[in-house]
Formats: sequence, structure tokens, C-alpha cells
Amino acid sequence: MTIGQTLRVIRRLFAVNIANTLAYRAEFFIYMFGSIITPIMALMIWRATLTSGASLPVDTRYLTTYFVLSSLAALVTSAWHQMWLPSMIRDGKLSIWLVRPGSVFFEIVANNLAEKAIKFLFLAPMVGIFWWFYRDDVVVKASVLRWIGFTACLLFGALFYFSLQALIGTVGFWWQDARAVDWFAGMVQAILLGGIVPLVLFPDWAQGFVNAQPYRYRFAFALDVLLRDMSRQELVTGFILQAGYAMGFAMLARWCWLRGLRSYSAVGG
Amino acid sequence: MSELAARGSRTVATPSPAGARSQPVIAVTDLVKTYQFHHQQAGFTGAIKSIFKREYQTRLAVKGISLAVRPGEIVGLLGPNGAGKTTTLKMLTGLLRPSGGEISVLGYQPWQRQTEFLRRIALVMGQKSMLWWDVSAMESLLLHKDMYGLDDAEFRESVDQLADLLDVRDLLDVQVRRVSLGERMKLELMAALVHRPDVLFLDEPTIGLDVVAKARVRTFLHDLNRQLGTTIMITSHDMDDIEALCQRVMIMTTGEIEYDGDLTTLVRTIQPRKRVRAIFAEIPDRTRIETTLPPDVELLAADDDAPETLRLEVPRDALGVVLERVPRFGALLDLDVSDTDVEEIVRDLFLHQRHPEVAS
Amino acid sequence: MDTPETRASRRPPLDPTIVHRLRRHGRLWKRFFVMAIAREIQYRANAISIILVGIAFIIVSILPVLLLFQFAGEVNGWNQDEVIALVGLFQVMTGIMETFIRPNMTRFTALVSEGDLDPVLLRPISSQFYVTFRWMSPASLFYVIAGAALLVIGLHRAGIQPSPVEILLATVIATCGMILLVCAWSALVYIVFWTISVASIAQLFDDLWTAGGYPVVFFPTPLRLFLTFVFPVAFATTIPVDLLTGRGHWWQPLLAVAVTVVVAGLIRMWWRYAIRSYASASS
Repeated sequence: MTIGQTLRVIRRLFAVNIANTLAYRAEFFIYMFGSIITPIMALMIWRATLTSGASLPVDTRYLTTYFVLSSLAALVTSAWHQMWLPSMIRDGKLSIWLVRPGSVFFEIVANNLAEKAIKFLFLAPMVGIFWWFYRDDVVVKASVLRWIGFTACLLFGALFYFSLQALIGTVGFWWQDARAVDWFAGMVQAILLGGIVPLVLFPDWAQGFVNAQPYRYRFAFALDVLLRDMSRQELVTGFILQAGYAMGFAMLARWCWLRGLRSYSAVGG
Repeated sequence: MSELAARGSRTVATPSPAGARSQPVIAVTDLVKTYQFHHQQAGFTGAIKSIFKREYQTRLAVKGISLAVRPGEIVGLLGPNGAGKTTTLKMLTGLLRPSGGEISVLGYQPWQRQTEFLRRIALVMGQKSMLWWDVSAMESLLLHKDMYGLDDAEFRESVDQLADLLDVRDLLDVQVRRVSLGERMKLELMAALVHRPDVLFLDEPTIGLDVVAKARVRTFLHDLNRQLGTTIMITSHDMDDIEALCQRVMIMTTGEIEYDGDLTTLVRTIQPRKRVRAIFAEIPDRTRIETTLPPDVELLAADDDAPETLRLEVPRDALGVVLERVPRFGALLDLDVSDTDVEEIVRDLFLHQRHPEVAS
Repeated sequence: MDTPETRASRRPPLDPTIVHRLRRHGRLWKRFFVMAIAREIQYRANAISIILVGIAFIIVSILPVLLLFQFAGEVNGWNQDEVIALVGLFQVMTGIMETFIRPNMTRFTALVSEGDLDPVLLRPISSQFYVTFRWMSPASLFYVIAGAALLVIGLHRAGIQPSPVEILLATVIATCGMILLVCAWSALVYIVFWTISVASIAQLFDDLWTAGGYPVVFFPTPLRLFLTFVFPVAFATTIPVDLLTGRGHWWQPLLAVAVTVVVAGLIRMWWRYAIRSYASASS
């Protein structure tokens, strides 16, 4: 397929997915509301810590802005197809896609973008209200360079996470389902994403590990680029890891996917 | 009231074997059920609009029916899909609340779902299983035991009796999901009857079953009624179910009961016909065949795509003669006999009503 | 119209008193439990994965607390060990919900949308009871054991030895909190009768429930009120631990019981209304 055809297909699939998502708008509204609860709670807890006289390596402004923006950053970099890839494989629905020109990933990408678009419409006002309540402490340094860096990191982060979920999904080629792996990943990322405890607040002896691990490069690093003053060395290392994880996981996922397809077709899946 | 309906209802229902009392077990007067459902336009604007204003449409599913069933009767409710049979049954068992009219089953108002009412009825639905899928039938029965408050002795006795009557003793410890459709229906019946209800409601019980299984279910229900005096009400769109079991049949179409009375009278009046389809090795000579057929038998127009197929509509009493003659029309490859649809029967019913002088 | 005399009408009534009714439902619950255990034994792998998830859940609940207390000795009057005790109780509550409540709630949508509610309504049992308690996941009781251990450890490290009265009152409040949470679950889930599916509601519940892992005083006052009177995690975790650590008030158990009785009554009414509208509107 040419690039033109590919884009047309994706655009069509995008429209279908928008319609589907709107059909479930009530559910998605509730999901988005749920997604903002954790950062709100986390912020309140950290602010309570500060008012109790704790001395943190970061100030209220960083914390407040971090948590206000984190749900948006999480949304932009989200992906969920690891849940339905194994069932598609198991039910044989994958075959339907394999006989069509173009990859099943067209549908996955279209779905991802379409749902994100609608979810963003719901989440943005909620974040707006959150922001307004804490507006005194939300400070975003306006340097254009930072914003560019932030956006670039988010895009890489989205690619990284998309690839990671695809990788988890390919487990479905060899095991019954990926639920166990997905659960485990979910638990790990609850800590390592920086959603409840910003990674900068981890103890010093853990900083090395915490800053190098891949989950940081979903959105936590992007937020640091925007909000924190980091040393040149930290920035460079960070960018390398950001791009590296994105590319690396993308290639790994693709490789596993192709291996899986081969074994799937071999048994006449 | 139509002449046919009037003729039917003058027939006296067969007295029940369990010592009839004149009080009906089921009594329904002018029962009405309406639904409201909302209309949603397609598209984005439609979705937004529906948040603010919803347009409702009302559908009249049951339009004021009246009936009375005496203890020990077996009654059939026949009609095409969408006629309101299942809705009526659900109102009689308390699953749905009537929109109007009076309803009384065993002296209770079903929709109040009192414990004493629920323990005296049972419902078996052909398309919806009441059993739990991933455990054995016995587990389901034990759950019934606790739900209906049966003590050990009466439970055991009931299970033994039913297991023998239905011949399912070997299946009791098998997971329900592993059992074939026909056997599962028997287990459903068993579960529904273990608490010895006075009234058994059945909604399309033989749907999807093969001929042998259907016959077994019908025999069982007949024996049940004979031995225990259980009042039985069956809905179906299969004429054979009704014919095999019911003395009395009610025909329901689009929410109304068009006929309520004796089955034999109905059959005699309507004379539903059988469809015979025969496929030959070569195209048969239609003009010659038409002359050899008995007078009531109708040869349907040939299908251009399948000229070797012959289709006939045959009155029941002429079926034997026709089947005897069909093989002589040529080299017969396949022969199929089926009922005309209930819809056709009902259409015939109306045709007869409007033009009683026209014989079907 | 009189009840016609039939074979069945000559039998004694099933529930002559409310005690009979309660006993019959109790026996039914026992059967649900036995069947659930049998199922759990059969699907062992599932039980093991639940335990592993439980361990992960403890870690995820404790870690933020440990990280937080690196920086402060106490927050809003709570020290680390007291919060650990609270997390333990939070685990216990989570375990009870995972065992007895969640398996039913996740099945709720199918119940309504696929007509699985009809067989329930046909039987002479309380439909609300069935829908709330039918399914169980006994392996999740692991959470309860782990949580209880954590609670004891936390109290011990904090040097607190609650008196038997305090333990009793704390249990009363925690039980009320549990019942209130079931009510909150039910209130959210019954919306399914009119719209939506359970999946999003379940997610919302989980997100709100994480607040139970922290003392309610960590949050600003409006949220505190919300977490006490609207989504009552306070009764389930904070207030019982307050009582154990000597911070409680005598009127708290009374308030808890009063609120629970009122709310449970409202939920009962709501169920009745939902069933009524189901019976009127469905086909």
C-alpha cells in the first residue's frame, strides 16, 4: 500500500472509531473523571506533607503543576491494545485482518487516536477546573524550547508506551492471555510512572535506577523537561534514553509481532 | 367477537383429572402491556440532542387479553414471533408488571412476587437457561433446594422421581455446559419441578430440539399432568407441540387472543396444511402431475432456479395419498415434509373469519 | 380472590417469621460459599495469581507511605507507623470487598442486559441478596490475612496497645464502614439499569477507593466531608484506626451505626425502585 492509501484507510478507520467512542461517551466521561482522581489526591497528600513542615527537594509550585498536568500527559501517551490483542488472536479475529491489505495496527492506531481525541475533550475541562482551584501555585515557565522538548518527549513517550503494550499483547501468540503480564506491568508502573510519587522524590540511593528505568520515559521525563531545572548531563542522558526506549521497544515489538504472526499462520490460526 | 372465536369458546374444556374446582388457577381480564422506548437519531447532532430531549414511542405489546385456566389443564398459547406470548407469560410469572387490566395466578398478583406465590410456580424458557453452567446439574438442584426451602427427605424423593421420569440419572453429576441441548432441556425441566409447583409455564420449550427429544419432552409433560395434576401453560410457534399436548389452545397475534378453545375444532376448521417438497433427478412433467393429484392438493409454482423441485401444499388428511404418489412422478432424490408456517395458519384463520364460506 | 386449593397450598408457609427468612437466606449463602471454595480449588492457577496480585497490591499501597515519611516525622498528626496500620486495615477492607462484593458487581451488567435477572426474580428469594452475594472469590481472603498482619505490625511499632473496648468499637465502625461501602458500590452499580455498563463504574470505584489508603485528615476539609458522608471510606479505615490509637470519640460508633442504617434503607428502596422500573420497562 502506498502512503496515500494508508493515510486514507487510517482516516476512515479514525472516523469509525470516533463514532464508536461517542456511542460510549458516558463511560468515557467516567473513565476520565476517574483518571484525574489519583493526581488530585496525590497533590493534596503532598501539600499536607509540606504544611506539616517537611522539607522536600522540590517546591509547592513544582508539585502542583506536575500533578495538574500529569493526567493530560498520561492521556496523551496512553495505549490499551494489550488487552485486546490476545483475545483477537485467541478468537481467530486476527485472521480477518490478515486477509485485508494493511495491518491490524491501522485499526489499533486509529482507535488509539480517536479515543484519545474524545477523552481529551472530556479531560481538558476537568483539568481546567483542577488548575483553577490551585491556580496560585501552577507555574509553567514559558520558554518555547522547553515546550518543544516537552512535546517531543511526549511523542516519543507515546511511541514507547504504544510499543510496550503491543509487546505485551504479542504474549497472546504463545500464552492463553496476557492478563498476568499486564497485571504485573500495571502494578510496577503504578510506582515507577511517577503518578503518585514524583520520581524526583525517591530516595537518593534509588535515583539512579528510577531515572534510568523505561517507565520514566512515558511522561515523567517530559514533565521534568518542562518544569525542572536539570543539569546538561541529566538532559542529554534523558533525551538519549527517551529516544532510545521509544525506538528500541518499537523494534522489539515489531520483531515479536512478526515472529508471532509466523507461528500463528503456521498453525492456521 | 369473530364467529370462529365464538365457536371455539363455546367448547367446554376437558375437566381436570385432579378433582376440578371451579376456581381458575389463572385468571386474566383485559390485560394490557405497553412499552416505551426512545428514538435516537444517528450521528453526532443526534447524540447531543438526546442528552437534552428524548422522543418516546409507545408500543402496545398486549392489547387487553382475557383468559382463565382451570387446575390441571394443559393450555397452549400459539402464535407467531412478536405476538406477545412471551410478554404474557412473563406477566403471569411476575417478571413484568402489567400496564393495565387484572391478573391473578393462584390467587396472587404475580408482579408482587410474594414468596408463597413464587414457590408454587415454575418457568422454563427454551431460549434461556435457568441452570448454572459451570457446575453439575446436581449443584443447581441443591441451590434450588435451599432457595425453595425443601427439606432433605422431600428433596431426595422429588429428585429420584424426576430423574426416573426424565431418565437423566447419569447426567446429574455432569457439568451442564457439557450436556447436549436435548438433555439440558430435561435437566431444566427437572430443576423447575423439583419444588413441585402447581403451575408450570413453558416458553418455547422444544425450540432447537431434534424430533426424538421433542417427543420425550412432550411425553414427560403429559405424564406430569396426569400424575401430579400440574397445570401447564405452553407457548410455542410449533403447531406439533400444541397438537401433541394441549386440549385447549389460544391463538395470539399482535397482542390479542384471536381464538380460545378446543384444539380439534380449530384443526378441523383451519385444516393447516403440510408442505411437501420433492426433488427429482429430472424436471418432472408438471401438467401431467397436476391431473393425478387429489383435488385439495395445490401444486405451487415452479422455481426457475430449481426446476427439478416440486412443491405441494397438502391438507393433512390427504398427506398419505400424496406421499404414496410422489415417488411415481419420477426418479425421486429427496423428499421433505414440513408444516405451513404458523403465520399462514393464522392468515388462514382470518381468511376464514372474513369469508366463512371460503374453505381453506 | 381466594387462593384455589391446590397441592402446594396445603404446605406450611416458607417464611412464617422474619427469622425463618433470614435463616433460609443464611443457608443459601453457606451453599454459595461452599460452591465458591470448590470452584477455587478447581481453578488453582487463578487462586495463585490472586495471591500474587495481593502481594503486589500491598507493595503499591505501602511504598508511597514510606516514600512520603522520608521527609516528615508526622503529617497532620499521623506518624508513619500509624499510617502503616491504616494501610493494613485498608488491605483488610479491600480483601473483603474483593472476596464478597466485586465478583457480583462485575457480573451486574450481564444480569440486566442479557436477561439473567429473570431467573433470579422467579425464585422465592430476595433478589437484592442474590445479586449482591451470589458469587465469591475466596482466594482474595489472602488480602485480609496480609492486611490484618500489617495492621498489627503498624500498631506494635507505634507502641499502641488498644483496650478490648477500643477494639470492639473499632470493629463496629469498620463493619459499618464495610456495609456503607457495599451500599456505595450498589448505588453506583444500580445505575446500570438505566444506562452505562459496570466497567467504568468499577474503575471509578477503584479510583475513589485508593483514598482509603490514607488518613482522611490528609485531605482538605471539603474532600474529608465527601470521604465521610458521600463515599464513606473514612468509616472503613480512618475512624476505626483513630479509635484504636486513642484519637476517637465515643459518639463515633453511634454515628456510624445510624448512618449505616439510614443508607442501607435508602439502598433497599433504590433497589426496589430499580426492579420496579425493570419490570415495567423491559420486554
